[in-house]
Amino acid sequence: MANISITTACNRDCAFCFAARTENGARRPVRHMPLPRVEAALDFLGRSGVSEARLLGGEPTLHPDFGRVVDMVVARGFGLVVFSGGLVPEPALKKLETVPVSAVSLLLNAVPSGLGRPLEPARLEEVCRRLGPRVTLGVTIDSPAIQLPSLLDAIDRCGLRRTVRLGLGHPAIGAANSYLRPRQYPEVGRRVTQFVLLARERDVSVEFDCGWVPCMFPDGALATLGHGADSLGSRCSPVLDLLPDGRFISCYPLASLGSIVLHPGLDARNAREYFQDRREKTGPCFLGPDCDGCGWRARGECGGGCLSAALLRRRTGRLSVAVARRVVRGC
Amino acid sequence: MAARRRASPCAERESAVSPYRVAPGVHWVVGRTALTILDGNGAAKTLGYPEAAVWDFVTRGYSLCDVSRLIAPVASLDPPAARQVVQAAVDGWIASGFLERA
Amino acid sequence: MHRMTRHGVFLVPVLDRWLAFAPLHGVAAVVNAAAARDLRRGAAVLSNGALADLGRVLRRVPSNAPCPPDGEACPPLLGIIPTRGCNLACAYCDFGGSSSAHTTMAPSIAVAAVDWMAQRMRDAGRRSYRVHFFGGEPFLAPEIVAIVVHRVRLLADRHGLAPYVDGSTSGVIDAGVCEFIGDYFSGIAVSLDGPPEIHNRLRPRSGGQPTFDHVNRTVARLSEMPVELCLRACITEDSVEELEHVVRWMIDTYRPSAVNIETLTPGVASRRAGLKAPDPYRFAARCVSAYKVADDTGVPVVYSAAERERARLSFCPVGTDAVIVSPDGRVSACYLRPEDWRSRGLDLDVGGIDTEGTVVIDRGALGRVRELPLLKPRCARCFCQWTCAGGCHINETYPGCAVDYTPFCVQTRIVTACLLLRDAGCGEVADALVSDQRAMERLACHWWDPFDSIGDENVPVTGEASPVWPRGGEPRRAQSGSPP
Repeated sequence: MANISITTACNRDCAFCFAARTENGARRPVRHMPLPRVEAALDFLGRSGVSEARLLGGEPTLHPDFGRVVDMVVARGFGLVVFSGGLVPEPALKKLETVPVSAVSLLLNAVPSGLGRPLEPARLEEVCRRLGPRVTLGVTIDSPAIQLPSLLDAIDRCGLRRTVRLGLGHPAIGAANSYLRPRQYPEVGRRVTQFVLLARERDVSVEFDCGWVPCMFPDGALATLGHGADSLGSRCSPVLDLLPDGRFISCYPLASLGSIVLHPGLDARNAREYFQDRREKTGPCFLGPDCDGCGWRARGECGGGCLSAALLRRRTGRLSVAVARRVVRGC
Repeated sequence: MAARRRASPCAERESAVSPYRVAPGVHWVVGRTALTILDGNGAAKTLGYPEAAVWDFVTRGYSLCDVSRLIAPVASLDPPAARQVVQAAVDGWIASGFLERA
Repeated sequence: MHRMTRHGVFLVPVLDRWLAFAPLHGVAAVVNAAAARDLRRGAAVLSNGALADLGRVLRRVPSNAPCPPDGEACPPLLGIIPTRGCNLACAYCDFGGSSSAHTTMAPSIAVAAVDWMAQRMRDAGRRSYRVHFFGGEPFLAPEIVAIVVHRVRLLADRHGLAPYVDGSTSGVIDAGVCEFIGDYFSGIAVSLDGPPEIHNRLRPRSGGQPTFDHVNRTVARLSEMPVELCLRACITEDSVEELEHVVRWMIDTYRPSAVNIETLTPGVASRRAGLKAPDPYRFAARCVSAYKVADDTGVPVVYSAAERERARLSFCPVGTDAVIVSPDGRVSACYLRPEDWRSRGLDLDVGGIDTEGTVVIDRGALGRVRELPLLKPRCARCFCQWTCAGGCHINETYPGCAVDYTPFCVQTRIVTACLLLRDAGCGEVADALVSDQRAMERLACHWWDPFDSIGDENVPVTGEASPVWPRGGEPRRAQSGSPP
């Protein structure tokens, strides 16, 4: 698996976004990946034996040559996955409508109502209706204030793929994004458990992205989560995110671990080895002090959660707790 | 914890601040009852007690005299024994590259 | 003084219905007047359906009623007061604030307390070891805090105990202390009364300087760390109407683990500052609104007196065998000052530290303290006796206190009833209740809540008029709502 960020342009300002800022907190300038580099990225996927081209941003559909990128992906026989905030411009939407349902998946990061952020529901609704089963809804959870059941209504109403993908808001070191604190994990686990059961009743499956850990869930809940929970506790591993400037990072939250430039001799295996080595050099570090006595960890069933969240616990020889910019303000 | 310390009884005998600092690239993580030092190259050393407490006080800038004074009640040691424990720990960490002289 | 008679089943009026509450059975139900009459007559057990099920449940003898501890002291927590000194001069604080003696606990006392507690936990076969830091401002004695924390961890590691260290702070602490708390504490409660315009008026430094900015930085820093972060707000007459807004702001800004709300306890300092406790009915209504913020945000909002997760005999550590050690080595059951207890005719010392530096518990004193939660005449007729349990033993239900319900009782009864209604799926009834002043008064002043006579038609109904605590007025006697 590897993701290709074809642009940093975005038409949303999600608080949890870990791609909007660099590791020193500066907002990423708008940059589009030139088409030759897209071609080189697809070459990388080919020699790595990867069958899917996963396009990220910012908002990838804002790339000025998005249509050409789609053509390149489809022509080379890759499955197309597009991670989108849902506000897809009309030309890109028309292009996606031409790709067969079996060849494309739009992972639409929904922002369920109740979080106080604008939804632009009309446009989202139109995108969903026109793309139908090409769309998989996803949510990035950065606070326990999640309202998930409305996603099921949207799936039924618009004929979307009957799967919901749940992600956690992880801290991007230095980037000051909104993220879910580990102390809030149990409340999220409780609410998600209720949602999984509800989704199952409506014939919708739930998938979990990286960073979920078994201890988040109430006693006995893991058995009810089904196959989607198989990955719970897996140590996050290098995703390989290719930035528009041609550098690979391990993943956005761990951009500060370094990068490696895309070149013809690089494939996914040796890129992962590079980042795995960098990750291991950070040493054993887990989400919280209670990981020390954790049975799941002792049995090797949990790797300790998101490494980026775990690394926030590291201390150096000076005061090391950075305060997120968004937090320090009065009422 | 290094701020607002009461006047150190060690002030007249030696420097009231720590002569050591954490070496560049070294981090540590506080666990449930232990503390793990990470050297930045993947190596980790877990400290139990009383060494974990010694590390905490040293890295907060206490002088060795003050660290010994504080470790004595933590570890039920008399002052000479506390001093010995502290010195041995610090010497070991310098040898391991976790600490360096300021 | 005689132990109060405790009851297990209660019936209180809620608008045109009745709330049946059996805390020892873990049951709350809303019934109409006819159903309530049937329950009393025992007719319910003769019919089918939900009412019959309820009747059967209520007739069961509960098996899990809490009772006072006995035998050797087995504290649920060890309290350490490193110093009673404080760097603030909060407008409502009668602890003495910055004028309190800055005596710091000696390390030998701290170690004696910690060692005794560890031994007790081992002897009692407990797996965890909880220490709570009280003050003054405990972090004005950072070295004692550090010694205690490290000694606790050393002993926990040695004896296979899970340490749990928490404490309370004003938040006006150094960044280094903040990091220490974040790394070594399991939980921390920070007093934050609201946004700057509220907080600075109520909680200035001893020189009068505002403290919000400093507390803001502290809380923001702690928010980034794994420690369980509780924000504690004191609500006054001036701030009660903003309660929901303040709670939501705290949750949105700091992402705490919980927000704890309490009302100002009137005293010398607050009167001098012109501060008043909120009207209990207004507070109850706003408190219920604040609880809804918890539903939206997933962050618990807590009014301690209305905690109903499990039945309890005491609102606080007093009577639970908790041992709290003061800077001078006193070993007590309560963290308030001895002069506060004595003013109520109480002695809450339970022991001391002997010449060999060992904690010694006075069995007789311990026995007297264990008995204290049982001596609550005011609570005998109240449905909150197993949840609120009388509130503070010094400030609320002290020996010889009036049996009339106080504003604290009024707000607690209403809030508890509303939360029980929500638990029973009748949130809209709770909303209607807090919108109806007369209904709230009827509930608050209901004279006799116990309903221990399920099925017994011959139990006399006390039709006595009960005191009414109207908004802003003096207590007056009026007709109570009649029982079903």
